[in-house]
Amino acid sequence: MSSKDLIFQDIRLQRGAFSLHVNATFPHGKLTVILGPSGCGKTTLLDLAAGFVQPDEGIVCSAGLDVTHLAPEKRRVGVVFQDHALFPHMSVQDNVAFGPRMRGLGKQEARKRARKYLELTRMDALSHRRPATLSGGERQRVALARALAIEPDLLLLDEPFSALDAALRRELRGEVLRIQKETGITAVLVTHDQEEALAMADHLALMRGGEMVQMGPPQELWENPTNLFTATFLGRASQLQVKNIDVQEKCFLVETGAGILSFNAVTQACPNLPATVVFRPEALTLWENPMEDFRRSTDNICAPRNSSSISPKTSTQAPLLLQAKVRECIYHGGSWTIKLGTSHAGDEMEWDYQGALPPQVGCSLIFQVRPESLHLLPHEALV
Amino acid sequence: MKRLSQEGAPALALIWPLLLWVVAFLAPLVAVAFQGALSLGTLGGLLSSEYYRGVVKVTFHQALLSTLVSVVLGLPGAFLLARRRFWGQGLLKSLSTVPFVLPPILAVLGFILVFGNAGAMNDLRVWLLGADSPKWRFLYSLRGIVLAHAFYNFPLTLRIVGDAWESLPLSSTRAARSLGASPARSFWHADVPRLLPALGTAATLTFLYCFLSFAVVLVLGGGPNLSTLEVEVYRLVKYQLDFDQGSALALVESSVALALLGIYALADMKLRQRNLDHSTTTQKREKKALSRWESLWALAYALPAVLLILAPLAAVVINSFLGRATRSAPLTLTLSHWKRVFGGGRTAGVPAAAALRTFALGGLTAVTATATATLAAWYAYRRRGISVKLMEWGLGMPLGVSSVILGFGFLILARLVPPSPVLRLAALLAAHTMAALPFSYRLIAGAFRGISPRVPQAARCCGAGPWRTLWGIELPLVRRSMATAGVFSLALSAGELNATLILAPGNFTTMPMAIYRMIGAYDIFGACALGSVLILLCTGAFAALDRYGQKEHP
Amino acid sequence: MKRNLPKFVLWSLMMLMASLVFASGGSEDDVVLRVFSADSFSSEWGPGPAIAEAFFEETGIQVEFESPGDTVTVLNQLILEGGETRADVVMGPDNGMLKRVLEAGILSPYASPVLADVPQELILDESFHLLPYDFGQFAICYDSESGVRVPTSLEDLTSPEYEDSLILMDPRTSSPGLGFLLWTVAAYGEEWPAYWERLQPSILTVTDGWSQGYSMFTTGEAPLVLSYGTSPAYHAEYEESTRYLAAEFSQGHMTQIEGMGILAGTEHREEAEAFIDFVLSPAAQEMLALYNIMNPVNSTVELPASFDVAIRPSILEFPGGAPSDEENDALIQTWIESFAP
Repeated sequence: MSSKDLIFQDIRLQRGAFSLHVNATFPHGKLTVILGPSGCGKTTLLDLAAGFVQPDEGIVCSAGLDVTHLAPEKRRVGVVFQDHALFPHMSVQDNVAFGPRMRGLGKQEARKRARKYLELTRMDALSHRRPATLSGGERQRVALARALAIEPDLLLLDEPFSALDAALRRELRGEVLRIQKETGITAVLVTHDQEEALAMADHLALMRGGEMVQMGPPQELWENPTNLFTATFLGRASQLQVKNIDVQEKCFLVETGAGILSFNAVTQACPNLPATVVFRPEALTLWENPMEDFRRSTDNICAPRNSSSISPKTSTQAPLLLQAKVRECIYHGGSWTIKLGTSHAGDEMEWDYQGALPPQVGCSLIFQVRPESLHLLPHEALV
Repeated sequence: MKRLSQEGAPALALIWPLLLWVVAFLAPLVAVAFQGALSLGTLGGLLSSEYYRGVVKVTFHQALLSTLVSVVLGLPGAFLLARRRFWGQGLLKSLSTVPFVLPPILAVLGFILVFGNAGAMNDLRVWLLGADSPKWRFLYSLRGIVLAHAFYNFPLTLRIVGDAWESLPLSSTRAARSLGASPARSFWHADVPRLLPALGTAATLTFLYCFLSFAVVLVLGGGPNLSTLEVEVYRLVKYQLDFDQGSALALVESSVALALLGIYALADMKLRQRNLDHSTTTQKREKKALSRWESLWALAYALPAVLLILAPLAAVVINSFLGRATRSAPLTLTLSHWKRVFGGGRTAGVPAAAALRTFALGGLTAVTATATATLAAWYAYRRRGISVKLMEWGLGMPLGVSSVILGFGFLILARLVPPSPVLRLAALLAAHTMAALPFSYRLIAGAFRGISPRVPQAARCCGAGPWRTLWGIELPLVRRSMATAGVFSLALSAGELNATLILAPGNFTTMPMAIYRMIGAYDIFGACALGSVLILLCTGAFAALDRYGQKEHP
Repeated sequence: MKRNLPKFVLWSLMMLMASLVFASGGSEDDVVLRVFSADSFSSEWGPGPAIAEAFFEETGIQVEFESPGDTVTVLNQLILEGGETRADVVMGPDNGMLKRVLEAGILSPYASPVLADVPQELILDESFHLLPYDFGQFAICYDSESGVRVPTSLEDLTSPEYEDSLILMDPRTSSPGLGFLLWTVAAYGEEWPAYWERLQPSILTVTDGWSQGYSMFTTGEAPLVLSYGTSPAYHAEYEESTRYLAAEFSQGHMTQIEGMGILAGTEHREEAEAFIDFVLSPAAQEMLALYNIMNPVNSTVELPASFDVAIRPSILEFPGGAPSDEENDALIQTWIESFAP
């Protein structure tokens, strides 16, 4: 942990019904993405970092300084807003030069600085236009140049691409990544788009209901969600409600609507009920010889057919079997998403199927699933 | 929540408006209260009197009716000015605001010259139907009051609703139309809710003005059976120094007005909350040329409207050029009234100096009122909650307090002000500023509400402090409304008489004062000439404003 | 510099406006006589400035007028100020306000020697607190070109031919209005409400003040208006017109005598007395006639020729002298309530 990280230490904020309580560290020189549903407090966290909002309690540190009670203009923070918030009465160049001017640069130097960052964002050709005459993407580039022109310690981006169309969004994402890498600035980007988050983040912070749910590199959050929310909010996740858990010596058996699953008691803590088994669509493979093996597997769940002893290692390697009914087939051009259900009403599974003809709706399928791709998560973690 | 709520700068900004409010509004009220010890004891007696109940009834009745007519008459005009292009639009808009600032004596005179029993309309009747046809009686009844109040207040709807209409974003209508709504339905569902706050403002202000109306009701209503609370307060306080009853009655009057302001503030807040949206498109709609069908109804509407608004103004101007050489000679065009007013003689130079002074005082009022309103509006923009509500209510209060009471308060205070003319003029400036403040505030606060809170935040991040952000970013964004507020303040100051009479030092004559004195000295047509200058001054100011507005938003 | 030019212009414009407004204040001189009067008296259109100038030429004493409004406002202010007032002389309170003035005790008596030239009937205050300076009789003026028959009495005004022909003033807000009400009370005694009932059809409207009513009359809105018997003199003097004339009524006319007095607390008693004497002198009295269009009280003054068209009706006295405020209030209340349709 570098001392130049952006640190939120025990921040508390109460505004009417909304409350925020956050402990978080966003690494220096990296792009951190805060992801969460609307109203989770991610923008408020950005406002705290910028100084637009002061916390009721706690400390905000940026670039090694306690900035909690510093006014925005005293911090070295560049912000790009969702609605770009350009100064409509100024030209593009004046917009970008405003920051350097305010921070004490002479007119000429400020202009030079503005040109530099307009070049960086490839907006130098339009520097004399008024914001009203620019397209959405162009405005956002200007906003980015304006935020960077003060050469801040911290760059904050509040849903900067949400008002743009898909192609432009992809293009600007690339630009922001390029610029962030080129400048090596500590950046925080807020979004509710998980695809965007995964594509951009060096460090991902997932928020919900005013609290941090999980933080870490995106792969870690993807592969090892520590709670149901992370698992379900990031990407598509299949869920099986746990009906019952039978704890045995070295493993415990989890009964779900799709069959009984065995978990290694050494690598996996046994949760309290209610709990859910979560896994990605890609964890499923169709079981070639359904009827026979499935029966066998369920009959003898702790001792799969080719294994004589239940060592932790082999048991995690051994495939488990799940049975589900086809509910719906959605065509994606070359592939299908098959939605599956079980006898349990809350269960939802998805499976990506490559092939010309999808399975018929209503038929039962049996899947093989690797134990290590299953996550048994308690519901308490939701709160 | 997303505000720099703990910051001190907006609170500092409020000091000046608050100070002014205390000096120019609260102090005179407190002075009256001390003088009369605001007794409520007589209140019961007043309200049980059949006579006063009648007065209250008439006051409400005429105010409601006048408001309804003013608003209904004003709406099509607001639409035409905001959404359509036609020849003479600018001039029409500028002229339509003038009645609002005309001294009542001149407005009533102009009105009578057109609609009176011997006015232009009846001349037209004689020409059309012959001298024996029955007289067209427009005035001297409830009809006369309503007509004159419409003349006075119709510009409020025209301006306030028109401006709101003009600034409706394109996106909402497009969205509605794209969802398959017909133009009428899209208007009803997308535009009307957004116009309601403006309509509410216009209606509330109109009602308050009519509610506190005085000369218009008395003269054009035809007599004391149609008189208002304000006339009674005048009689009790001014002629009889009967503070007990006078202040009790004024209290009834003010409670109604202030309650209305309170209800209005609540409704306004609700409406605005409902209309709050975060759409980022600020593209405005194009003004369309009139279609043939529209031209027809526009003409059908505009002719009587123009007659109502412009004819009385024109009558004042025309009369300043008319004269008879000898008794029973035909009316001829003459400059003799103008020569008498602006030429030599005993009063040489006085009207010209008065015009200059009025303009200067108006200009200073415009600057102070706009600055004060801007500071208050900035506070409201930055802060939320009860303090803002209280402030807005306080700023609206001068609209709801009888000018007789306020004038009396000034009279009491005037003796506390040392004889220094500079101090007296400063007090006068404060009084004029206070009178202009409710308007200026509304205009500028509305503009502030239109700025995304992110824009000043962006400026803060760029390194600008709160004051620098106000000066460099927020003010330029509301400057159009500031200009409007400035011109309104100038015009209101140019037409103000009561406070001026009481507070101005002896040799400080303004145009309305000169107009009154000339009429008081039998020189009615000279007063028309000077009134024409006042009309010209205000029209010019409004025209300059509209031109500026067009330049800002091509 | 180019960018700063508009700013510079704006600032200089503001400075100019400020200097225009504040420069007109002028400096405070020590030896001035402060006269409180109605603004119509002290303004350039009234007699005030001319009298002050002539007085200065004769005595070297400067007069400064202060006018917070009409006479009622002036009186209100003086009563409110009591002993602290800066005023030395007040001009304007009339016989209708005499009781209030005396009760307030704000004036000190001065029996000017020039009063010898004033007829006894015009001496409005036997104790010499309030001294008369001019007078006029309320009268109904008519437009001789309108073809209206000249009314001959109050009763004549109720004739059906005058339907919607008469503009009156509200006694609640105007002194001619109150004067006319008292006139009818003096003429009809207890029967006055019945008279007003008969008069109603003739009334076109009741205005808040004399100015509004008279301006409506001169623009031709009605052929009859409540004004003064001296009003025709204005049109004769300044417009050389005898179109507007006053009707002389058989029962006599209610008279308004405007008075002046020395404030009890004055520090310039001597100058104030000189001023009073001057106002009563023929020179000032003539100015009052010309600029105030009222009859001078000094009987030695030769009236301007234009006053030939003014009427000199007999004076109708209010029984028992001018009524008190309370009596006025009661009359007005009865008047309004009987006015209901």
